[in-house]
Amino acid sequence: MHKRIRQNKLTLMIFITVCAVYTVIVYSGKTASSAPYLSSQAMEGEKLWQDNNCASCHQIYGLGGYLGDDLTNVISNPHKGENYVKAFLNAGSKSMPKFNFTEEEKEQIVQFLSHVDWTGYYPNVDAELGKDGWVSIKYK
Amino acid sequence: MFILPILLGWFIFGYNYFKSLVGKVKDWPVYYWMWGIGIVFMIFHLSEANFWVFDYFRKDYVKDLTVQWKSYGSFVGSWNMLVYGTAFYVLSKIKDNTNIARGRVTFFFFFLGLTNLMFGWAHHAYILPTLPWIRYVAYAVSMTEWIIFIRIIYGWRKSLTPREKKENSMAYMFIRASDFWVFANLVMALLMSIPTLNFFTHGTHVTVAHSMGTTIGINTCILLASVSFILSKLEVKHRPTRKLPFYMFNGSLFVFWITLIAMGLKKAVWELNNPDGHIGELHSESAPYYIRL
Ligand code: HEC
Repeated sequence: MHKRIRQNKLTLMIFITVCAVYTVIVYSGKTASSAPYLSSQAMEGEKLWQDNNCASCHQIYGLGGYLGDDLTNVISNPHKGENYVKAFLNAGSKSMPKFNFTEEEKEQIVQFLSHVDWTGYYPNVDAELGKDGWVSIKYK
Repeated sequence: MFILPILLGWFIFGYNYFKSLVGKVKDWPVYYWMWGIGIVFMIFHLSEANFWVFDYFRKDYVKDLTVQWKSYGSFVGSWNMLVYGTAFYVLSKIKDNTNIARGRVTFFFFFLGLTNLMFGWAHHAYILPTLPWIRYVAYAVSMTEWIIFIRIIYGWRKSLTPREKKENSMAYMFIRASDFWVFANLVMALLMSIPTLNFFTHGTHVTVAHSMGTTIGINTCILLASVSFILSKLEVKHRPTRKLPFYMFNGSLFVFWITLIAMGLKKAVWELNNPDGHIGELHSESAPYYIRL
């Protein structure tokens, strides 16, 4: 009995150690995105994004509410882009609330979304789907 | 910062838990381990979900998202430890036998669950521009769940004796129903952890069907099983006997679940085919699904 308890404790210790190492690597390692750090304007924009709960209706990389569009690549979309976004913000629509952002705030939100756009693609339409179940996603 | 009082609550809960058990009970059955691990990891991962307040994470957007998505996966895993611990507890009480809760096989599955709690989160992040090795690890770890899958099928062949079933009928029914939802959840998880399928299901209602649909089934059934178990120990007149609510709950959840899956597949097809589309078009096309919901 004692041997079994000791074994279980040891196994748990090993698990926790490996998990800790893995976590540190994830925290400190690189990502596959070539985007630089967020600018201070973009960070302000991110704050507006959070404070106004945009994510309750909109997704980024597929995460968020399903009422509005995914906005990961709205800025680089040739049919949409910066001015389109700015126009949308204070106009609202049937199902999107009308906001009262100042010019500066609109610019900050656009900076944030441009940064997001810079980090990658979603949906990743050019990804290669392998027969072994693996997906090679396309990076920016 | 609503998270601070929540965290404090978990700290106090954890302190109380370990104070009541450590040194007092020898040879912990697996559910004590599960509850203990659940509490400790819950505290860590709830904090992790808020690391974006630190500039170190926040400035690197992809890393920030990765860490947030990591934490979501792992605190759900921690919650599952608590809930499955409870399921184990009720089961060993129904069978009136705590030996299974100390066996080798049981601990093997406990550690397998722990592996998935610690490393399985990364299948949430397949589509993020993280380094490929993180995604390889995720794929490999997720596939270990097939072992659980096989185990469940195997376990269905062995059951309780008729007497045990009858005495705890309500609790037993809920445990069986939770088995079904665990199974449904697992099948979905396994399929969605294969990157080529995840590519389509990510960010659609299929994810919701997995994360909410089946999870509501599992958690509710296990909690109601433990409530029914406690009630079955009371005087006869307080024992729950009506079965209608049981069938209503599970039946309507099933319809909800199927609708979410159908909706999700539709969204996936629409998104990939209409990169410049407006979401309103999808919503109008999907009205029948909503009404069915
Ligand atoms: C209550 C839900 C809701 C909230 C909150 C919300 N939106 Fe929207 N948004 C929508 C919907 C729905 C649409 C699609 C509207 C349409 O097509 O008529 C939309 C459309 C948009 C579009 C145009 C997208 C495209 O691809 O055509 C942008 C840009 C946008 N929203 C940005 C934002 C930002 C930024 C915020 C936060 C400040 C925000 N939204 C908050 C619901 C919301």
